[in-house]
Formats: sequence, C-alpha cells, structure tokens
Amino acid sequence: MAELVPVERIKLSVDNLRELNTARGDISSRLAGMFAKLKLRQEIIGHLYDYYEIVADDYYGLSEGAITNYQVAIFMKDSLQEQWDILSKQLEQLREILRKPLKITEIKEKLEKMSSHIYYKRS
Amino acid sequence: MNGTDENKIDEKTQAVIDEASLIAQRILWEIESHVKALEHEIYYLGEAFNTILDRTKELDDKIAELASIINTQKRDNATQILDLLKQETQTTIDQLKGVFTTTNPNDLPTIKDNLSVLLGNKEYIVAQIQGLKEIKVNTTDQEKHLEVLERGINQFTKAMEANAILRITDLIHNQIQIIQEQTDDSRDTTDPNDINVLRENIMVLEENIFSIRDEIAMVYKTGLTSRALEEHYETLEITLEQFKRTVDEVEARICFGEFKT
Repeated sequence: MAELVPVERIKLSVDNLRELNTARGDISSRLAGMFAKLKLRQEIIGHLYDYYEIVADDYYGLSEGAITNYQVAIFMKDSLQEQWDILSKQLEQLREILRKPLKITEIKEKLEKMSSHIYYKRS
Repeated sequence: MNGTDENKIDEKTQAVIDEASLIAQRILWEIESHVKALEHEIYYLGEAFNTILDRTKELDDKIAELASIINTQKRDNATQILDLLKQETQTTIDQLKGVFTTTNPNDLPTIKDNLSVLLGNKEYIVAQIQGLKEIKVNTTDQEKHLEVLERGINQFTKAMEANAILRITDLIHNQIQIIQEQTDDSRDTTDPNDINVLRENIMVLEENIFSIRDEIAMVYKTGLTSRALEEHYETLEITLEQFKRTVDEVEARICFGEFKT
C-alpha cells in the first residue's frame, strides 16, 4: 500500500479545527463584551461631563454673587441637595451596572437607565 | 431701597449660598472622581482588549494554517486513494490471468493469500472513501474506480472457482482439514457411543473422497494432468487412513478399559 495520511487522522484534525473555531468564537464574544464595557464607560464619561458643566454653572453663579435673593438661594440649595441625594444613588446604581457583564446591544438600555439624573435639571 | 441695597447680601442669605456652594462642590468632586475611575477602567480594559486582540490574531493565523493543512491532506488523500484504486485494479488484472491458467495446485495458497490481500486493501480503501465522505470530500471518481476494483475481485474469485485444478485442490485441503480436526477430537473420546458417530463420519468422508477422485478423473479426460494434484489426493487418502487407525485405537482403548473394569 502506498503511504498516505489516513482519513482518521484528517478527521481528528478537523475535530481540532472545529474546537479551535469554537474557542475563537468564545474569545470574540468576550472581546465584544469588553468592547461594550469600554463603549459604555466612554458614553457615561460624556454624559458626566455634560452634567458637570450644568452643576459648574450653578456653582459659579452662587460663588460669583449672581444669587442675592434669600428665597432663590434656598431654592438653589434645596435643588442641589435633592440632586446630590439622587446622584449618590444613581452613581451607586451605575457601579452595579458597570460590574455586570454586558452585551453591545445593551448599551443603549443601560445608558437610558443611568442618564435620567444627568438630565434631571433640564427636565 | 436703592441699587446698592439690592446687591447687598444679608448674612442669612450668604449662609444658604455657602451651603448651596458646598453641595455643588461636593457634586462636582463626586463626578470628577467617577470620571477618573472610569478613565482608569477604560485604560486597563483597553490594554486587556488590545492584548487579547493580538493573541486572537495569532490564533487566527493558526486556525488558517490548520485549515490549509487539512485541505491539502484532504486533496492528497483523495488523490492517493484514486492512485491506490488504479494500482489495486491493475494488480487484480495482472493476477487474474494466472488464476485462470495455472495447473499447479501448489499455487493455491499464494492465490488465496493474494485474494485476501486484495480484499483487505479494498476494505481499507472503502473505509478511507467513507471517511472522506464524512469530511465532505467529493468521492465520485473514487467510487467509480472502486466499482471497477470490486468487479475485478469478483472475477478473481470466479476464476478460482472456474480453474478445476485449483477448485479440486481447495476441496482436498478442506477435506484434509476436516479429517485432521476429527482425528484430534476423537483422541479424547471416552464414550463408546461416539465410536458409531466417528464410523459414520468416516463413511461420509470416504464418499467425499470418491467424489473428488471422480472429479480428478473428469479433469484428466480433458487431457489436463497434474502430478502435484495427485500428490495432494494421496495425502488426503493417507490422512483418512490415519483417522481410521485412530478411531480403531480409540475403540480398542474404550473396550479394553471396559474389560478391565
């Protein structure tokens, strides 16, 4: 008989290739998960910067003497206190969201959940 | 109240403004610290992502390499199987003429061995083709050639049956084997009833031998003769004689044993 690579050996190689492909698929899923986490964090930072600017405007208004009326000052204080309370809870929830595994398709939903407070003042 | 009075902030209001400013500062710090933490996370996640991505490229290269090797092996195997089929078919054709024409009964073991090798190789080829089909290789050509090989092997078997010398030699060999097995078995016999069975067997074997002798005679009438075939036949007769002697001895032993008791 002539020397040839037995089909059984080729079949084993095919099985190995199939396993490698499955492993490659798993890695792709993990990479997609990591990419989703990165993307979500970038989006959140963008939203936090927006929110920062809004609060910073209030802060500069207060520190530069734009508010002189007592009632207005009380309203500002209460409003900021309320924001602080909500923000503390929201940021805690945010950490929870960030700790969990994430699919790229879930980013929008997660962002909607955490951005409610960021647009709090506008609403 | 004049303009100066309007801009003047009383202590009570200033205290509220200070408190509000502190809250605003706290919010800003909190946001800053979260942004920093998130930026750190992005940095480390990015590092890990890039490292895994690099490794993934290595894995992709290996997968591509393995896939290429497998494809080459599939192609080579299919080609080699085809070559093997052609080679085996040619071997069958080459041997076929000898099987038809030989008058030497001593060729029978070699011919049987050759047939056995051809059948073994064919089974191996069938398994390889089946395996190739399982891994989605087109085996149309191989299957066509396999049919040709199978026809060749069938002709080989038929040629063995058609060759009178070989057929009679095969019959003689079978009878010798049967007689030898019976001889061995009879040596251990202790039951007197077995003797009758053994004698009946001898009669059947004698009939078979007569039949073989008739077949030889018919072949000789066609002008074909074979000294080797005659020697085989003589061996058969001697083997039967030996069996008869063994049965006689066994019978004597059993009777003597009974007489002693």
